[in-house]
Amino acid sequence: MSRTGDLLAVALLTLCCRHAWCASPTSLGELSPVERQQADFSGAIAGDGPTVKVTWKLGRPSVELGGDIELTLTVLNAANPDELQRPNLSERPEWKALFSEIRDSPGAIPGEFRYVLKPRAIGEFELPLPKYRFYHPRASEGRRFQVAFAEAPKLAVLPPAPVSVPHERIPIEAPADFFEEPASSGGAPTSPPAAYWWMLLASVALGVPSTIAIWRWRNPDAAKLARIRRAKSARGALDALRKAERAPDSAEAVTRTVLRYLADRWHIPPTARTPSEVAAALIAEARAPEMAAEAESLLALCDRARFAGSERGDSSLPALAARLIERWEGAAE
Amino acid sequence: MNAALFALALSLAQPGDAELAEAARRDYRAGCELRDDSAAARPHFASAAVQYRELRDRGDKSPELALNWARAEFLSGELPSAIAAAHAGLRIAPHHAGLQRDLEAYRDAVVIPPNAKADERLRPPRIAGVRARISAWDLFGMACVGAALFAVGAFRRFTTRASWAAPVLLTGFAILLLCGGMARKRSVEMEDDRAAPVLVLRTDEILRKGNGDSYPPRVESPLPRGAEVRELARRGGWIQVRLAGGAVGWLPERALLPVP
Repeated sequence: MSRTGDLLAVALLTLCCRHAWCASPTSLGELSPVERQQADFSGAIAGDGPTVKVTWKLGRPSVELGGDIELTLTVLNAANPDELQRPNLSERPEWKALFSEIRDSPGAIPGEFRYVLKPRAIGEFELPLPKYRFYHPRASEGRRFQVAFAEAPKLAVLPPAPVSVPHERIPIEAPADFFEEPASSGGAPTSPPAAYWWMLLASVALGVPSTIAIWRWRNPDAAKLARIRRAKSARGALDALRKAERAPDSAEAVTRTVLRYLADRWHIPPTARTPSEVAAALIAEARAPEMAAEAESLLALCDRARFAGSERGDSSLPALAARLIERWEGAAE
Repeated sequence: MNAALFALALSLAQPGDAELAEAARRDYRAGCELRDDSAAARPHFASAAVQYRELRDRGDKSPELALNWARAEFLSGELPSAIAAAHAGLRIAPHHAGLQRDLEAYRDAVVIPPNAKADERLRPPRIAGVRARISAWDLFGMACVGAALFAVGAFRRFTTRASWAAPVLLTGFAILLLCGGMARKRSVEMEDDRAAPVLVLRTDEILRKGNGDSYPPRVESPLPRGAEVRELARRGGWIQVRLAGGAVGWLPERALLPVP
């Protein structure tokens, strides 16, 4: 009888534990195997207090394409936070379509699950949250597996920021004087004007010959000097003869003038004074005999006019002497 | 009337030459101060180069401006423009030592492919020797000295017949002949330069045997950016050019920068 009573007591206890009026289960072990295998069951069992709540939170509302973002799932009010199963997001097609990488990361506390996500494309979308099914022991039979809904966070995937290469200071390579003060422009022309060259050419071509000519004119050579002297004595004699025409003793003036002329021009010695001496001197100087005869004749006429009172007028002697001088000069040329 | 007023207003709105020169100088200085950071310095040098170019277009043909302009172009990273600007300066003052030295530096910066054949040589001969440094004023001074010696020698030779006159006369005459010969040579070089002006490659380009992309390359490797060539003829957007080594080929007109 006692054995039967014991078995009954155990059966009653088991039954009580399975029903609401008994103490609620606080671990998965207290659920039947069939219950534990419920689809999408997260393993969360609601406690005696408020029902199970879940929150999904992103680390930040936006992420650049290629960057990582953290997603945190927090399960609240579960009686068995240590037994909760992490939703396997990487196996879900809708998540694989959105994220190229889904890595699990440990949570800070029991009941917290973290994921590191890498978006595939630029855009803005809500996260496709999986149903979070938990066990509610106080619910009526058949409604104990409930879904904890949560607000799906929105994620904005931004274009990647331009790659900012760290600025490297590269010095300019150039000769040192390139970095000196720039030279002042302007100033003197780089080449002399063409007029300068023409001036130089003209000064050489014209200046040199003209200077030589001037010098030679100012400093005649011996032949030219003699020629000048000859011309000078002839010119002086003709002038003197012209004056002699008006002189009171023209014959004497003519004699004096002709003797001086012959001495200067034809180099007869000053001692030759008489007509014969003059003729002899001219012959000695290798002059033409005609010239000697003419000179002798002229001087004889002058002497006759001076000393013998010749009939020939005094006024004709200077003219005769001038004609003779001009003839001699012409013959000499 | 309106056009004249507009032109007047435009001319008044433009900065004067002095202001432009000062702005260019300021940009150049700013670039020099930032020389350790090429990315920061190059825009300043580029701005200075533009302003120097503007000054030159306005009529400042001094070699110093060309020197500054070429340096600004070089420091801004525009090697072909720097070479062209240096050539523009040397056209004005072929003797300018600074421009000659700078042009050599620019030529050294051109990346010339190795193992080129003799006629495919790209680098022009180095500017060297006393003749390259004699300016037109130097030549004129020499000619004046020669003329003076010639005049004194000739004067004494044909007047007092001094014994030293003939050597002095001959020396002066020889100097005059030398000056004349140098002036003649320089004139011939300028004529050659006008007949076959220098062009500078803006970019690497293949020298072809004909005036079209369908022609085979004349030289195996492309001519480098900054290489200098001489223009021989033009046809259909292509220019026949001669390299420093003597090889002749064709390059597209767009790839060549003329000396301003």
